[in-house]
Amino acid sequence: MTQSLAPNERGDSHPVGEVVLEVRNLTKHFPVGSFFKPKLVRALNDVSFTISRGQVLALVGESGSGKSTTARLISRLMPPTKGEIILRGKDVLKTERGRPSLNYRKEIQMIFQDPFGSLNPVHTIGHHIQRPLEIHKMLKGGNAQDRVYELLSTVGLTPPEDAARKYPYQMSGGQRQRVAIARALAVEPEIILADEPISMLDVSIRMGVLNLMEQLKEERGIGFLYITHDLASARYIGDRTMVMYTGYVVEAAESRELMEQPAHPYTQMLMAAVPNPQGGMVKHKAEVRGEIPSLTDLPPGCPFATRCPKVMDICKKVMPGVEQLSPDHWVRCHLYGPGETMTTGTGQKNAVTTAS
Amino acid sequence: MLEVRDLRVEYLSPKGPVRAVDGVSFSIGPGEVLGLAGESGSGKSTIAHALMRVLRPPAIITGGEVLFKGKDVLALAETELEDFRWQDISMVFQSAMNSLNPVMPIGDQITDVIIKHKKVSKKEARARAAELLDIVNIDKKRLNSYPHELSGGMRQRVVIAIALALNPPLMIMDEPTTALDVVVQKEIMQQIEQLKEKMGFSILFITHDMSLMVEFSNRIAIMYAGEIVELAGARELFENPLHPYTQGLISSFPPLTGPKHKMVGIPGSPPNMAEPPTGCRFHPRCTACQPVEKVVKPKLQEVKPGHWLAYHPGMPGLNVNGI
Repeated sequence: MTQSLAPNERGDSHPVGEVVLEVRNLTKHFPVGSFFKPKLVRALNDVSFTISRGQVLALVGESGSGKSTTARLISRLMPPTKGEIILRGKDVLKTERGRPSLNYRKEIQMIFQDPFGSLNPVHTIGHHIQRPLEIHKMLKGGNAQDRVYELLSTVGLTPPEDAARKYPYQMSGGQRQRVAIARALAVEPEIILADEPISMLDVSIRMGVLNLMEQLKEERGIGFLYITHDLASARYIGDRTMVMYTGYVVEAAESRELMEQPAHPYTQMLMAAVPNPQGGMVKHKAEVRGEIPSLTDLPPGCPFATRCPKVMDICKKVMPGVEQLSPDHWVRCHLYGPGETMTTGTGQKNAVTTAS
Repeated sequence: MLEVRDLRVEYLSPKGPVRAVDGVSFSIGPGEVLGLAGESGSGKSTIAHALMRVLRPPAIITGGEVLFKGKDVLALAETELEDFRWQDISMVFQSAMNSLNPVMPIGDQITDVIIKHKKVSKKEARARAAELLDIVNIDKKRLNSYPHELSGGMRQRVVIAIALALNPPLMIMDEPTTALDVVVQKEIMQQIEQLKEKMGFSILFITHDMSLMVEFSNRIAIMYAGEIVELAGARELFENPLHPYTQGLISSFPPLTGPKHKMVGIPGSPPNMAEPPTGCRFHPRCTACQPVEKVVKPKLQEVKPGHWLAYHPGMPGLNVNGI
């Protein structure tokens, strides 16, 4: 049923390459409320990370934690309030203001959560794949149809001739999500932002889509930002995992280390909340309670203080900085010291740089 | 307590009937949690609706028996149903968060249920509603709140409070926590567990999340394309799954601990129920398929004490001990 893989084999056999995408201090505040009572929804605060070639970075958190906002900012569907997006050393927000360039859109592709809403019902699957090839002039004299068939075969839609002729309604959710992946692949991107790509799929076909992502990462060196609320799948596919809470990254580490030694009380709470049939193997039993606070009036200090079982006085007053626990593991919590404050971004930048 | 025998439900469509539930039998004992697992379209929710007799055309119950404490549920008249529903079996619906009336305070929605079924004054009903909110850990002052003023988790708890209102011996929970975050899910499941211990009701628990189900249920029935393919104690099923579909389902949930494995899931996609595959309905996706599976339908039988499996006797390939 399962093939055994030595724990380190995955990481070592495919060393992560050079940094492709870097995000520094990404922040997004949405203005809400009336003219006389303006308020800010602080959706995302000072998020920094890097994605290297062939690396899967998993972004985990509850709804409202800012996961999708991160993806939307990087795909530049909306502009950030503050922060830098650096693609291959170039700060794209400065060099190409406003609409992202064709090149940027080619390098960064996105897969959405809902495969029923992301395909146009009146066009064939073949059309969906061919369009980006034409727009991005990716054909280079080759035959469009051959390339479409090739892409469909890559994502496991065989025979591709049949798949290309079909309309979205003739396909199942899993097949449509594969079409969405093929469409993203068509322009040979460096990074794919996958926003909950499996959460709307039937249970039995989820692994198929995850394994396809894994295969693309290994064979083509595509970097993924894998957004999910499911820790188990983050561990399965993510090389690194970042945990988000109310728009802050509260902990980041290599996935195995994060789940085996969760440092932040919130990560511990998440781990304890995941149903685990193996039962009793999770060492970090934490009490599970409470709900995420409103993003319009976050309490001063640590946003998790209201739910934290280990809350101290300082937590309610001062926002904790980032504390490094090991070369590749850092946490934002007063339990581990005051941490570096992160107005400059340098502290976090060093902490997040990928360990080999 | 509840016994379902050979239940069949069909949806009538212009192209002919679609058999959504095809000969399903199971029973639930007092205080027991029976899990019903399967993918979307496997007939889980249809069974729940059939048990409550809330199926509407084009869905019709075409056969079988449902006995609740010896009473034939399928033969109840419309007037008797009023007493049966909520008093005997209550239900927490899928996306229960949206099953509350948005323009009515939650207190009124709870008292409505009580007044409808019991001869009590409005004041008494209100007191009971406050008590119910207390049971599910919501402040009594919230009686006058509207659903939009509550968070998703609180709304879910209100729905559970309404289901508890008349102390029914059996509760059907159809994906009660699917739309919620894991932390809230855990809290609610723990609370349901405590309430169950205290009040002793049974639960028919429907979900597609195998991990949650194994943790929460006593016994589990696995459904595929309208049929039960395997039924066993929760631990037994998880540690020793026999049906290839069950094995595939379990290997679709990566573990949170232990060494990393390459997991395979299940190839292909769920069948079109208008034209279900012949023989074993899982055969087009099965990796251990035998030629006989394509023609002859396997029968659910007890292969070990308490462990039921749909299979052909004497068939190689299946890992059934002693057969």
